[in-house]
Amino acid sequence: MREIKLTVRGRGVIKGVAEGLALVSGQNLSLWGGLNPKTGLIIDTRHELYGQQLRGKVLVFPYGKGSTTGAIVFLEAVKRGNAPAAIVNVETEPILASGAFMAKIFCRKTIPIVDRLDRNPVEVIRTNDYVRVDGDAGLVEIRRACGIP
Amino acid sequence: MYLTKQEEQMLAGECGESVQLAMEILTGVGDIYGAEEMTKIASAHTVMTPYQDIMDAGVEICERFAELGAKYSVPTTLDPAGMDLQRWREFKIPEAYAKKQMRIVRAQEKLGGIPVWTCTPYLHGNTPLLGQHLGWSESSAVVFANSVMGARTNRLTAVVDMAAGIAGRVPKFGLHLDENRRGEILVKIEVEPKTLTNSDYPAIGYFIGKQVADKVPVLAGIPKAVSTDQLKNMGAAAAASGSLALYHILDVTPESENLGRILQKENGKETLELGLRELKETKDEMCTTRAGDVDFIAVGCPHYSIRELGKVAALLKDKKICEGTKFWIYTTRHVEMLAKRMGYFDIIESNGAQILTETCMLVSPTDIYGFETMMTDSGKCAHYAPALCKTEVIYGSIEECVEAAINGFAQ
Repeated sequence: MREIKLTVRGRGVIKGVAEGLALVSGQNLSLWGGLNPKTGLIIDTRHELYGQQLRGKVLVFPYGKGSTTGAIVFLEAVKRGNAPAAIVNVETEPILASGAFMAKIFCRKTIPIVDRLDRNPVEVIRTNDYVRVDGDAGLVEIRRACGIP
Repeated sequence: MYLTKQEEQMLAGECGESVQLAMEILTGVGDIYGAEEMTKIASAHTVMTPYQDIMDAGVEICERFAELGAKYSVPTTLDPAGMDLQRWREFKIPEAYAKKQMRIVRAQEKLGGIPVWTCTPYLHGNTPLLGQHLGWSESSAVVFANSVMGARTNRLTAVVDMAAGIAGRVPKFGLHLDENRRGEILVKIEVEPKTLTNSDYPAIGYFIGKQVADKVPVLAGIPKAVSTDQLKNMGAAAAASGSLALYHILDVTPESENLGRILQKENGKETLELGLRELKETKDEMCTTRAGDVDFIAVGCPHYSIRELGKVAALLKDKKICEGTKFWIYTTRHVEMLAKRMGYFDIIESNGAQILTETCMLVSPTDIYGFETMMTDSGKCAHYAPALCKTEVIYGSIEECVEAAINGFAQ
């Protein structure tokens, strides 16, 4: 099996390094009314990721939206072990960045975030790619199994 | 980030551990967004209030601040609680849930939070002035404070809002700066202004929230006679379908003269048109089902004003709510008191509807009642109800909502 590897450069919003399978959406996401922190499932019936499991994934989406309650929903998900491993955005909204920043203070957990990449992450990364997010260097490394062995 | 001598002392723990924790959070967020300095704020508003939303992580953080002896240093108002704080037993809220909610209430009392328990603090004593810096959360209140009052606040999130109230400061970036408050996209409302009704405004907001992403829209075509309630309901919908935090309305909102007009002078800027067709399509999109049996009518998102409550009382006079259908109206204690004095309360409750205070359908455990189809006049509620209340939703005017409550179905 061949493997494609691509590294994209951006801005480290939250420091730290994590990796996992990608879950990608082209739609903006509100954490409140979007994520059930008790299960890790997306509950927004109007969202294309409805019913998907976030836990341990590298979540890729353009921008945050909606309610300002978001950060505490994120903290509850972190507390319960249901948070994504890392996040990649086109542009990270302060609500999400605040939640991930406070996860370090209140839960001693690191969920790195990288945004402002030199390629559009929603187009470059596909669901189930293996992605390594380096919030220290602002790098996103994408690996994809490809083609005939 | 540049810090004053006093701010350095606050961050170093010389003003106590709670202030230090607040400053750690605020400077951390400011550093991410390239804030050059902090700015003092006139008031704060916090959403660290309903147990339904902030859960155990929220209870723990409220209590941690309280145990550290934290006090709000600027007037800090509280968003709705996760249940009617007086009538919760009547509404069958589980004891275990109520206990957690009361822990939040006690912690917020200790900090000196102003217990208005509402998403409309700007109507209940936390009234900002033009140009004032604020530290607010509650997406519907943020968009109102920025746009209608011309005050300046980012969309703070839970916990950061408490930190702002404690430190009396926020990092100065985003909407605190002139350059980020200029109109960027013109939205032409191509509907005869005189024909716009109350139920058009949430749809206009819903459409704008979806279409403009993170740009500042300038609205043209909204009549000068637009009401506070209409703007309240329009902004709330826009902050739910998108992340709108600021808009200008030509000849209506205070900054439209300078920051909003800038857009008109520059050529080649984006324009968006909203006509009757878009209005109808948006109203369809806000519903998950069109007609049929309705077992739950929920209004007051954002909290109803006395004027809106008076309208319901007038529509309900000499009518009876259909058996098996619940009609719940959410508002503040203050508005409830006025409704009692003005006779609205008696009309509404004696005809089978109920007034719940200090909470709402979205931040209390509405899913425990097993409602199947909700009808609402709120764009924000219509957006979130399927996920949070686990119901189908029909969006309609208050006249249509009352009719559905009387008949038990929507046409």
